[in-house]
Parts: sequence; structure tokens; C-alpha cells
Amino acid sequence: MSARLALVPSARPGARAEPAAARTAPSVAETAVESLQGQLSSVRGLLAISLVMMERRREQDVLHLAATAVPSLVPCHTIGIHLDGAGWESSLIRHGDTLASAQDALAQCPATGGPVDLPGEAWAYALPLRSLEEFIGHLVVAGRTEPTPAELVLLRSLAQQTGVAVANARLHASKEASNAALAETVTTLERKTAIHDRFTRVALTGGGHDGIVAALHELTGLPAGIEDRRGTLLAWAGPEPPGTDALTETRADAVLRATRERLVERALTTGRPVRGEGRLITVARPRSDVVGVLFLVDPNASAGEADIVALEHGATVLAIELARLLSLAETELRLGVDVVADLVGGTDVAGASRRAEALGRDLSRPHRVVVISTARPRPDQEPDVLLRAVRGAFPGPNPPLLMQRGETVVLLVEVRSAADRSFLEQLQGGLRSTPGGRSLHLGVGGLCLGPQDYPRSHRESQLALRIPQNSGQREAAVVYDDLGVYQLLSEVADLSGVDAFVRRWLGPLLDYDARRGSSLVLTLSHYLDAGGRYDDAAGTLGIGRSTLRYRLARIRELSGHDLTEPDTRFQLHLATKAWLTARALSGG
Amino acid sequence: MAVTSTLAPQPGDHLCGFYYGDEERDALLLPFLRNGLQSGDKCLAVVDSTPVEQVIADVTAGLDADALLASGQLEMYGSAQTYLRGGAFDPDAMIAFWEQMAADTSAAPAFGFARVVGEMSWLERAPAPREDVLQYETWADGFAARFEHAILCLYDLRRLGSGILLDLMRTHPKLLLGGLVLENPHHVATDELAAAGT
Repeated sequence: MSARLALVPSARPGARAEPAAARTAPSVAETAVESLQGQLSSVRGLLAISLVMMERRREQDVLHLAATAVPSLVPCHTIGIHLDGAGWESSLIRHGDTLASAQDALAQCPATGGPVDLPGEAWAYALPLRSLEEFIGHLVVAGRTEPTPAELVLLRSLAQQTGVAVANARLHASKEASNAALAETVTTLERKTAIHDRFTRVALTGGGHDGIVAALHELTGLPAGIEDRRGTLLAWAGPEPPGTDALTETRADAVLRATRERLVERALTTGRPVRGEGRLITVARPRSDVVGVLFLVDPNASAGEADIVALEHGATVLAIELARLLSLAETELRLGVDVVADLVGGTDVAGASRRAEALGRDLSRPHRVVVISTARPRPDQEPDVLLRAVRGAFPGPNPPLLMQRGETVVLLVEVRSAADRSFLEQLQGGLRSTPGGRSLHLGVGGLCLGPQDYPRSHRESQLALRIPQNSGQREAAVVYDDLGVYQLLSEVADLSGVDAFVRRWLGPLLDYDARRGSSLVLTLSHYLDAGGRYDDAAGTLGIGRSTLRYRLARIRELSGHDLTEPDTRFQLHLATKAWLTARALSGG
Repeated sequence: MAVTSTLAPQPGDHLCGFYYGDEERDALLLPFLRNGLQSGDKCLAVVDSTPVEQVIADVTAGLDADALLASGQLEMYGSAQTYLRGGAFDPDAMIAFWEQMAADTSAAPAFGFARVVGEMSWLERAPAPREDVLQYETWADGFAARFEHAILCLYDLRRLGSGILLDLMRTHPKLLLGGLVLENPHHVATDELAAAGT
């Protein structure tokens, strides 16, 4: 405080200086006038200080003015200012020891103020600082002698003016704080409104996934993306899109994949954005089995509250978008089922073509009919698990038209040419990545170059599906074009000759199997397919080598054929294939 | 304090600016001088709490400082060259400094009007007798009326406390408070002050 009194006072404040030598004994009137002049001077000083105090907006400035004014008004000095609830005003502290004593003395002093005992001070007084609304604290002053009543009035007036000025400063500070809070609220609201408006535009204009990430990137300045539940990137907006290869490698890493899965689970559980992997992610789940992951790339965790709000708005629009796509897909699926049924059944080929075109499929392009079935369906398996697996294998737009028929799913897959087999790899890969997409049989029909070809391709696909199934294979994907002798046999118009051929070579074995429920014909088929190698044949049949030897002995015994004789082996091999083809054609 | 930018001092003005800290001082000082430079007034200032070079740079930001100094339109001094030239404050020496300055300016009137600023923060580290400061400010009150210029005295209450207020109010007819120029009801005319003997 006023350790820095700027001037070196020449006389006691409140009494104007006059050389002592010049003094003669003043009259009573002169003394009274002199006293009045001194008091008037002090009052004017108080008014001047009040004027400056009222102009200060900082509470500390007001307290400083009051504390430094005391010696200029009365022959006292300031000990300190004690604020109610906040203690001694730190900017004015000069003597810690004195304040500690004053603290104890103030504890005994009422809020209205009064004399206090301070060590080393002849006289000390606590002057109350107050406003209309509140008690502010005490201005504690001390002096060598007790001030006159008039001087005490001056001090009380100073304290009163100080209280009003402090209240004024606090009111101003409160107003400033309110204005700042209001301004912040307005800014936040404006930002939220802008976010809301931006995403509303995306929703109304059908901006889709790309529109959502573009808006999010624009609002936050951070790269943004959308992934499906498995981590496949569906949309991206930002300066450096992640490379496909890098993404595949990252996702292939089991640890990272597990971390990501945990993050997604946490976001689903909390319903709020979560941080991890240098990202801020949230999820949109319009249905329990449909999840979209919306994220901001934020390695430095710089995203603020407004960015989180933008992410949440984006997730809402993404949920709407996913629900729309879901509804669209289900509608397409329903329409697609009718189209597929009419095409493969040959019932309304022309109408089906038009409807397929309305669904964005061009049947004039080469297609193949593919039939998929589960190798060994479990009794407790949900009826549409295969259908969902096949749909899940095509996450992109315009999936193949498909329908469920019994325990199989029939779909029409577009191909580039007759020699194109890439679709099969893609289909098998997609299926393997879905729950329930393993241990499947796929039968692929011949090429369709027009709507009239679909019934044939469907029959062929069923044959391609059944032959490996009937031969006991666990998992297979067979294209009709690759069936070889099966294809030849299946195209024989009159099957009676084929049946006679089968009976001639396999008759006793077929009868034995029919009577005993054994599988000698199938055993023979595998043995011959394996070129007579015991281990290979036993492996594909899933039996032991000794069992195979026993069965082959029974086959020799019942049929009377010498399996080592080349021509006999050829005839028997052909007969087993004819038998399998006939079974497949009859639907067995 | 933005209102100070519209401050248009009149000849004979003797203003007292109270402030807390250098930031508030700059809000008073810089517009006062800068507006003067842009209006073609002579600007003469003695500063204390900030180096002269810094104040010159702040005042002339965007203007041609070298030309303003070379022409004499802007003159800037530190307190060591003026108020404390002899090591301590000598009111007579300082009065002589200003009188000489005014005489020189009047002899070669290149500028129609002058703005004069004195920052008194040096009182914190070199306290002067109250009578000396009172004598100096009383003289300044009369001095302002004798020439075509306005004087702005700057007092940092954070450094000097409020004990000095009454004396300053008695010697300055106008106050610069809250960005506004106020008529000072506590001002006492120079002859009255002399008669009172304080």
C-alpha cells in the first residue's frame, strides 16, 4: 500500500503548515477558523478521493485508493483491509505480524466496527465497509493518538464511500462476467445452430455418407470418416485419406481390431463419443444389427466441445441415413425376390426384366445364377441366417438380386465374361467374413446372356450344388462349366440308358447299400476319384484306412469286379459319376 | 478509455489524468499525442515508466517517425533528462526548462498548437517535497494559459497512492477520468492558492 507515498509531507495532514517561528498566540476566533479550514480541506480531499474511487472498475484499485488516502486525511495509517470471506486484501499487505494480531482483534469486533487492540499501536479502529446489499469487511487503521471526533467522522465517511465504490466495482465485475457468460452462451448457440443447419441441409439434400463426412470435416477442420462395423471405410473427408492397403493391414492386425471393437462397444454402451486410436468416434445404430461408425481423426486430442456436438449431430444424421438405406434395401430385397423367382422359374421373364431394370440391374449383361446352401445346417439355426450371411457379403451399393428358397439362397451375379471367375473369389471372401458364412456349398450355373437363360442356369447351379454335396464333400464351390463328365451326363435327354449302365456296373452295390444303409458306392467313388490311393480316399471319406480296406473287400466280393483291371476301373468310375449325376438331377 | 480518442484539447487546458498502471496510461497518452500528430500539432512529452524509444514507436505506429522527429513536430524526453536532471526534482529548473521550450516554440512558430505531456511516475522512486510539486503544478496552471498549448499531467495512482489527490485537484482545472474530460470542482485559482499560503 502506501509505502510509496509520492510526496514528502511538510506538515501533518489535515492541518496546513505554518512556520512555528511565525506563530503568535492565535485568538479563539482564529483557532476556530483555522480548524474549520482544515476540516474543509479534508472534506474536499475526501470528495476528491470519492470521485476517483467511483470511476474505478477494479475492486483492488478502490481498496488501494482508500488505504493510501487515510494518512492524507487524518493523522493515522492503514493497517489493512479485511474482506468478509476472503481475508486480508493481499495487494495491501505490508506487515504480516501486525495483520495476524489484527485478525485476532477483528474476531472480537462486531460488523459495525469499533476500537480494536493491536500490539504496538496506541489507538486502532476497525471501520466497517458495507453497501446496501452486503457487509464487505473492515478498513483497519491505527495512530499514535486517538483522532478527534471530526477526524473519526472523516474516516467513517471514507469507509462508507469505499463500501459504495467496492459494491459498484463488484456490480460492474458481475455485469462483465454475466455479459461474458452470455456472449459465450450466444456463441455456443450460434455454433450449435450452424452445426444443426449444416447437417439438416445434408439430411434434406440426401447428401449421404459423403455429405455427412464433408460437413463434419468442414465444421471441425479435422479429417472425418465413416466405417462399417467391421472397419471398412465407407466415406472420407480430409487432406490425407488412408490408403486401402494400409487400412487392410491395420484391420488384419488382431490387436488393433480388438481395440477398435472395444471402442465401438464402449461408444454403443455410453451413447457418447469416445477417444482411442487417435480418433474420436461415435456410433449410429438405427437397428440392433446395423451399426455405422462415424469418427474424427484427432491424434492430438484437440477436438473441443463444439466438435463433439458436431460429431453427435453427424451421428444422428448418419442414423437417419442408415435407416433410409436399410428401408431401401429391404424394399429392394422384396422386389428382388419376385424378380429372381420369376426369372429362374421362367414364369414372367419379360415383366421380371422390366422390374430388374427399375431396380438398377441390367439383365442384358452376362450373369450367372448362384445357389448357396449350408453344408450341415444346425437344428437350432435361425431360418434367415444364410440369407443374412449372403447379404452381408455384399456391403457396397447395388448388391445382387437374391431370394431364399428352402434351405438355399439363389442370387443373380453379374460377371464380366464366360471365363470370369473373380466373382467367385469375391463372393467366397465376402461370405467368410460374415457370421454364418462358412461351411457353405456354392453351385454356379452356366452363363446367362438374356432373361430366357435364367431357368437353365438355375437348373445347372442346382446340379453344381448337389454333386459335391452327394459325394460327401464338406465345403465346395462348383461352376457348372467345370463339371466335365457330370455336365455331359446331365445333358443326356433320355436317362434310361444311363440308369441301365449304372445298374449293370453298380447294381449289387446299390442294392446292398439300400438294404443295409451302407455307403459302398460312395466309398468306391472316392477311391476311384483318388486314383486308388488309400490314404487320400480314407481322408476324403473321413474313415480309417482299415475301414476302407474292409469296404473295398466287400465291394470286390459283392460286385465280382477286379479293381486293379484298368478298363474295369474306368467303367466303374464312369458309373459312379453317372450315379451321382442322376441323383443330383433327381434332386436327391 | 476509448472516449479519449475524441478528446480535443483547447488552448490553455491543464488536464490531470489519473490512472492505474501503464496500460491505462497508454490509453490516455497515445491517443492524445497521436491525434495531435495527425492534426498537425506539435507534441512534446516527458515519459518515465516506459523507455522513450518505445513510446515513440507506439505513438508513431504507421506514421513516419523519423520525419516527425526531424521536423520537431514530435519531441520526447525521459525524466532523467528533465524532472530529475540534477538527480532530484528541482521545480525552478523544470519551470525554466518549460519556459525555454515555450519561448523557442513561440519564436519559430512552425506549428499552430502544442500538446504537452508530463508523466510524474518518477515521484515513486524520487519523492519530492509536497511544496515543490505544489509549486510546480501551480505554475503549470498559469503557464498553460499563457501559450497556445494544452498540458496533460499523468499520475499513476498505483505507484503514488491517493494521498496526492487533493493537491492535484486543487491545481488542475480539468480532470481526465473514465475517458471523459471533466470540469474539476475542487480546482483553486492560482492567485487564491497563493493567498491561502499552501
